[in-house]
Amino acid sequence: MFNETPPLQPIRPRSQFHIVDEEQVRQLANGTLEVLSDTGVHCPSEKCLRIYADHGAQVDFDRQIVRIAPDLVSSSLSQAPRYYTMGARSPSHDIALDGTAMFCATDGCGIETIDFLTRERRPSCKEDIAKMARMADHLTSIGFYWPIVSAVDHPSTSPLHELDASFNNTVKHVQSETVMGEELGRYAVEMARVIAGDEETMRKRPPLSLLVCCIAPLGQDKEGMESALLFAKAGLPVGFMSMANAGTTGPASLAGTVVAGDAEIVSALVLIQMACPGAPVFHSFMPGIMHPRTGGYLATTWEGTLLYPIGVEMAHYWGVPSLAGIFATDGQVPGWQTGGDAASSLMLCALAGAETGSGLGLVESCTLLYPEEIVMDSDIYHRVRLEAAGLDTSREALALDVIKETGPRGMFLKHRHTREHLKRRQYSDLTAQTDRLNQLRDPLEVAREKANMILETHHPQPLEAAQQAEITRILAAADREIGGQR
Amino acid sequence: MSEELLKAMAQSIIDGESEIAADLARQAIEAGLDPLTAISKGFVEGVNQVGDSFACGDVFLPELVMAGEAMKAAIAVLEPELKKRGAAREVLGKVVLATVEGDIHEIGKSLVGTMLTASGFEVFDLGVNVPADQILAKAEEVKADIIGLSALLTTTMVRQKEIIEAMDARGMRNRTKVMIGGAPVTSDWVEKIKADGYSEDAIGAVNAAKLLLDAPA
Ligand code: B12
Repeated sequence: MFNETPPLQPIRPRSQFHIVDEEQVRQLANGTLEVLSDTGVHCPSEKCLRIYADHGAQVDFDRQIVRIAPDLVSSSLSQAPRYYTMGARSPSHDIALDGTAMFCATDGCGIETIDFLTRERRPSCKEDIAKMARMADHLTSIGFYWPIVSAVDHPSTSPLHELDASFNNTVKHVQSETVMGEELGRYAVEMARVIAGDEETMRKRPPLSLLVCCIAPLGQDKEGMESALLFAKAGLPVGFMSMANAGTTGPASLAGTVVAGDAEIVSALVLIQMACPGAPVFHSFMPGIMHPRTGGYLATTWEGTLLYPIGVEMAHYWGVPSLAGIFATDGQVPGWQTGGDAASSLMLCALAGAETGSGLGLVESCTLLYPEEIVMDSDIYHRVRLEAAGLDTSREALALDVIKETGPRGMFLKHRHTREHLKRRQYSDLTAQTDRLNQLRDPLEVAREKANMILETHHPQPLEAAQQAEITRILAAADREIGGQR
Repeated sequence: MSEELLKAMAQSIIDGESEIAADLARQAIEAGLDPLTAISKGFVEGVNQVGDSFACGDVFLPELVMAGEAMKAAIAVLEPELKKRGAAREVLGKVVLATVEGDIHEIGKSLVGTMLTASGFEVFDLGVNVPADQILAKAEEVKADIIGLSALLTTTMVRQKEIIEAMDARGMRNRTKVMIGGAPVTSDWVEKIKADGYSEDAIGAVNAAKLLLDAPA
């Protein structure tokens, strides 16, 4: 027996807004073009350097520096699809990046977990990924799953174990941010093929995508770029994220950090389009601001959140969908700080028209999993979803007849319209819970209960036995071949 | 005259002016000032002041880093003169520092390097994604007192362990201590792989390094 996975509830903003006006976007984009053609980026992969050179970029093979002229940037990026679909194991959970809706993922790659039972802090493990995949499967706020923590118990092949735990426990799309290098990449693509069933489905409704970080400032990761090429060739979407830290790996001015980060991302997008014209790609800008004394990467800042929706606007300028940086927080425990960060980043990015966004469920700068945090983030998600959807002003909703009928000093409570419409109002199931005395309950406590309840009761449709066996076989081969060597 | 020169030297460090610092170093040599005096009574005074201001929160990291750069520029000019005179400047210890192979996280490692340098250690920063052999070879070459290993990924932490094992195999552990760090590194991990020192941040790294050198060999 298994449970149905509830339908997704993406954010569909009624209108979009701009943080930067057209002229400013052009200024930023021109900055990117100038940096790419004058300074270039560092690319330590011989394979990638060749592709750049073959397509007309200026390559210094000794210094591993690539310079890309503005025309070449635009001609390459013009091949990238603006809209496409990321597939899921269950077709009704595919996510269409069509410019009308935004889907969020869980956060990813945490390294520690507050234990579900003992509440002790410990290194994360594969079982956590499996449990949280079930949780994500149940939550309608989660459009797709990032393996939320690392499988520390499988050091050398953890990225593949993370996929195994994910595919087995959610029917939703999975995005990896750890499959780096061709060796791991080949196994991952093979897994995606098993999930999709056949080559054609894998291309049409890719069940797996990859997010690769650039190396700020102005650099690319050899292993990351090479697995991205492999994914792109197989038709799986790949995205590139800049995590420039304003002050250390990015200029301390915000606009400067946008330009430096955008240049990294664009250089990688260009490469993929050169190698695989038309391959689905996405743009992701998730900078931090340096802590002035520790040099730490701060996600909770007053001004930094502004950078995320600007990243979304840059993605759209270049003609590709975006993965917005959302929900990142330096909060140490679920609460005021994590809530503030989530709400402001999500609202801004949703209204800027982001297609996808990261990060429900981790605290301490994307490193620590609190099982209940995802439920709390989810609550904020729905709040923003409803706010962004705007107002229904149909005749029925304007309720003129009802107002007239009830008249001055009347009472709406007894009206049929009230009875019907109150049912449609959506209340938070965390903040609006009352106890026996009709007092509001502590939302944190409710969140913990809800998280436990989901884990106890939600078991999504498993993989078919043949698929399961095939995934296990691939994993065993990887463990033998990669695990053995390292 | 030399009193004024020494003051200017300290000021060039406080202002983080590399060119001025190098210039003053040249002037000192021309004027026949003892390079060791120039360092200890001039430039180091500046470094100490910036260090103190940083410790009480009056200045931020860029000031500290720029002071370090200016110091380097001055030392680069004075070092050949020191050698000529057969003298050596006093350093607290030699540290070979790197982010392990497969890992390119640089910020934390570099900060640790800056703090160690500012505190009087001689730091050989090998950069990121550095293979074990290269780290060990450098440590042997410079007779390092400490090897500092940074790893930010749960998948690359194991390189720290491997390097420690390689040091054991080469019999290096008596002469050279190992200090590790990075976000996923915990005191449990430190114990498990038998590292000698550990810190969660750059200031702590300096204390850890000092502790290691006072400890009996
Ligand atoms: C910035 C960042 C990056 C930047 C790094 C830019 C650069 N040039 O350095 C970029 C974008 C390139 C990057 C890439 C990746 N990253 Co990263 N990154 C981070 C992030 C957000 C902050 C790291 C940082 O700079 N902190 C600021 C400095 C000051 O702190 P620190 O590094 O911890 O260093 C301090 C202490 O640890 C200590 N210390 C450090 N080293 C040493 C050494 C010694 C000897 C001592 C004593 C002390 C010490 O002192 C330092 C100073 O206070 C962390 C998350 C986090 N909050 O830690 C993720 C994080 C480490 N990255 C992560 C991941 C997954 C990646 C990628 C695989 C992503 C991808 N899909 O491509 C790649 C890996 C690339 C590679 N091969 O290494 C994960 C790791 C998960 C895991 N399982 O281990 C993290 C935890 C984030 C997450 N949850 O996803 N990353």
